[in-house]
Amino acid sequence: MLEVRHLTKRYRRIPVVDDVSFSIRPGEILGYLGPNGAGKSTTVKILTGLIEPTSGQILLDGRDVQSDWTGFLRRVGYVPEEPHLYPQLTGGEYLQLVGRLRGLTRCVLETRMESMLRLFSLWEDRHSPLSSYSKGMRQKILLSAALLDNPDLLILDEPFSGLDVNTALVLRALVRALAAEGKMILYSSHVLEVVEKVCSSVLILRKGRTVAHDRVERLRELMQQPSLEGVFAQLTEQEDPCHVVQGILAAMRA
Amino acid sequence: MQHLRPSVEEARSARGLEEPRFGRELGETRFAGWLEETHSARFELCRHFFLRFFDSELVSSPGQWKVLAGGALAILFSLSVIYIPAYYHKYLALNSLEDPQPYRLAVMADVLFVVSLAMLVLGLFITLEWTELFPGLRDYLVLASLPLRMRDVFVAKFAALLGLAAVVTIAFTFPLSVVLPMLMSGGIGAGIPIQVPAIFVSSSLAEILVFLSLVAFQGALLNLLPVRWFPRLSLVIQGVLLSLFLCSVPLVLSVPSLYTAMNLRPAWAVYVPPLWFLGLDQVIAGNREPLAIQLARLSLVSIAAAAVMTLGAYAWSYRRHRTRVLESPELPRRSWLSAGGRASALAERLVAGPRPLAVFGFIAKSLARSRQHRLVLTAFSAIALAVIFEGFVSLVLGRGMEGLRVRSAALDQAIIAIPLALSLFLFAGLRYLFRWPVELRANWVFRIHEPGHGAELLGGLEAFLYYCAAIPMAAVTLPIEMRWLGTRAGALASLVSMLASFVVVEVTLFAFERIPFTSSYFPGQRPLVDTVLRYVVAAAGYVGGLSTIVRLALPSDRAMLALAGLLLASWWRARRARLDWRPIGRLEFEELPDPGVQTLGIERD
Repeated sequence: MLEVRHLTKRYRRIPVVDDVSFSIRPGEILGYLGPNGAGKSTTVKILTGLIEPTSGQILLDGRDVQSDWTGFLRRVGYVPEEPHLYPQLTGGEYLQLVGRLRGLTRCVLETRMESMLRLFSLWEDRHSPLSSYSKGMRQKILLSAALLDNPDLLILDEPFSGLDVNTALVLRALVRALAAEGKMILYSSHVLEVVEKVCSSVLILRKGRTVAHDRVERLRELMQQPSLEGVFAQLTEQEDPCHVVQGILAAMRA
Repeated sequence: MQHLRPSVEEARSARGLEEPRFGRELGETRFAGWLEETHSARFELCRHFFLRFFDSELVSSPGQWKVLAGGALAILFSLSVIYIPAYYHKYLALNSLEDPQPYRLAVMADVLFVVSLAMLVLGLFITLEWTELFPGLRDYLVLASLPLRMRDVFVAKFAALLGLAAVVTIAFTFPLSVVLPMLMSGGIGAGIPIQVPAIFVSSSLAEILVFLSLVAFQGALLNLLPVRWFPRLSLVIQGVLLSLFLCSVPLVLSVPSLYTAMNLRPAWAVYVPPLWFLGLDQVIAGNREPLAIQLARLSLVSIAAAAVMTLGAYAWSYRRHRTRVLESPELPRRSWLSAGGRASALAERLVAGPRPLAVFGFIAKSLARSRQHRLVLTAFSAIALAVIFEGFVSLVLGRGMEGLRVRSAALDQAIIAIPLALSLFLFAGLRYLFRWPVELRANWVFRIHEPGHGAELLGGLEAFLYYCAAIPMAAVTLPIEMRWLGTRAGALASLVSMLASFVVVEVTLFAFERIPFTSSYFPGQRPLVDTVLRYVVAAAGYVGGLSTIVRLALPSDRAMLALAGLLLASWWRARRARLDWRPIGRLEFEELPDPGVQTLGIERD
């Protein structure tokens, strides 16, 4: 089980993530939600070791991950929000790079690479540079790289970004199937409809603080809202969209 | 394109500024205000293209070109402190002679030097801007949705390019054309003021010829080559040009010492462009010699021809270039598969473990495919070639071609210096490049896989430097050493040079705790004077000093073996020092602040 306790990240005393706690059990998918700047990506970066927390603890199966950060990362698969990849590498070479960095032997790596590339319909493009890939193709490469080492914990930051409808349907089913296999999944997204269908529970952040953390159905009941979208709008105090639209139209005419 | 910028009055009132009161301030403010205004689409495009010339990935941040330019000016100033007194005393002595001939020949040699240097400087500058000579894919994509005609884009690009060439030309030529005649003036040189316009016009036109020729050459390539070939071939040509210009530096610097040759009238003078402009200078200065007139005419004809070709290339390009660029998709690298597969299999034999292999492959692929990195590496190699070339130029200038045919101590030293110069500048270039990110935001893939494996990952870097640089370089230069120095002596000299390059590898790796191309540190932040001085000292000590020692030891096998033993011990000691020094910790990446935080203008704790 992954436990995050009182996680805080401050930039010059301004908290970006403020005392956030949650846990993910094997087989559970936690939807990690919040408007832009709420602290979702910062949490994800802390979990992947890209930035260090100001305070707080991360435990995996009851042990502080700081004591064996390498061992923790060996069990993590990560799909970042932005498809930042080395453009000069080909799709196949990128997977090879990730596999080697994870210490996979040639035999295992080549078998898995081929399967991933074929299943994500990238086999024909495996020798093309990533710079020529579409956004969806890059997302597929990132997903393949995250799954390459059969991780126990998957951190997915906007995994559906740029995917076509068919691949999105496959991925949705895949996320459920991975959870059914006992994987822990942290799912950060703005697409609330998908979160509602895929996640077992959600955590909503606002200005770095947790404003809700519960099962989707229970949140709907508590907030008396028909959908997660309503819950989200109410908790994050979204500005009235009509008001914003009127403002934009007025600015265009000015 | 109208109303993109606020008017001066609006901007001023928004900032709460008062009207300027004094003439100078008023003039400056009016000009600044005029620049702030929105002008015609063509002007705005021209301004855009002109400013983009100064945005280079070779410097760390926008605007850092000013720091580099300041550094370059500091170097020029330092050189002028040395050269001006030297020239003053040289012409003082020449002016005091009874015979005016030495003075006249020295003037011609120095004018030829200025013309050649001007051509070289502009050639180097335009070669560095090679990718910006015509609108490119990025321009087409960015400007696609704007209400602009393709003709305007091309006209603006050409105008910006011309403006840049004019600025560089005037900035370089004007001071020289004023200072040099001042130093030349005196008894014999009473009529020397005419040299001010003569040097200025001839040098400026020589630079313009280089500029126009390079633009016309690229224009012809753009239109004649299949569009998929152009990027690859263009980089090769840019590298070749860079090497040619850098290698000609020693030759150009030796022109003032060729004053005795100025009295010759060789038939091949009509094939040497700098001599055309020397002829033009002479004609402007009043020389009516037939050869001078012929050379002057050639200079003007060549400029006219280059101008016609350049305009033709631009006119030809704007109708078809965009379609060619936009409608030609990038091809997968299938043709490289077999060679890549063999190289990969070899790498797997040489490098043990998947993690070192990952870094090894990443470095090799990045260097092979990143245009900017290859260009910088080419530049360092070209500097090495220039240093090597300098040794041979001095031999040829001293004794003609005989200097290359007859074995001498100077020739031996020049041969021995080849692998030493190559290793020094190649490793210096690689260390510079390794700190230069390929795609900074993609380094997360290394950062999340690095904890606990830092030493393993650095093993890939070490393997790359030994297997892809030090050993191949020794293998490539071995036949040259053996051909010129003899089989036995050449092999020993190669062995010693290889061991010396191993020491340089260790120095390169010392305290280098980064995976190449992944850190956010951009090189080029040290003052240019400091960098140049370091390279000069290193070249003098390592290339000059070591090649002298090897040459002296060469006649005795025992001395050579002792030298090899000494270098082997130095390498082993340097290697132990590096491995013992390195704390096994986190490698350096230097994170960037999050975009949201950057907006607030704050950084991490």
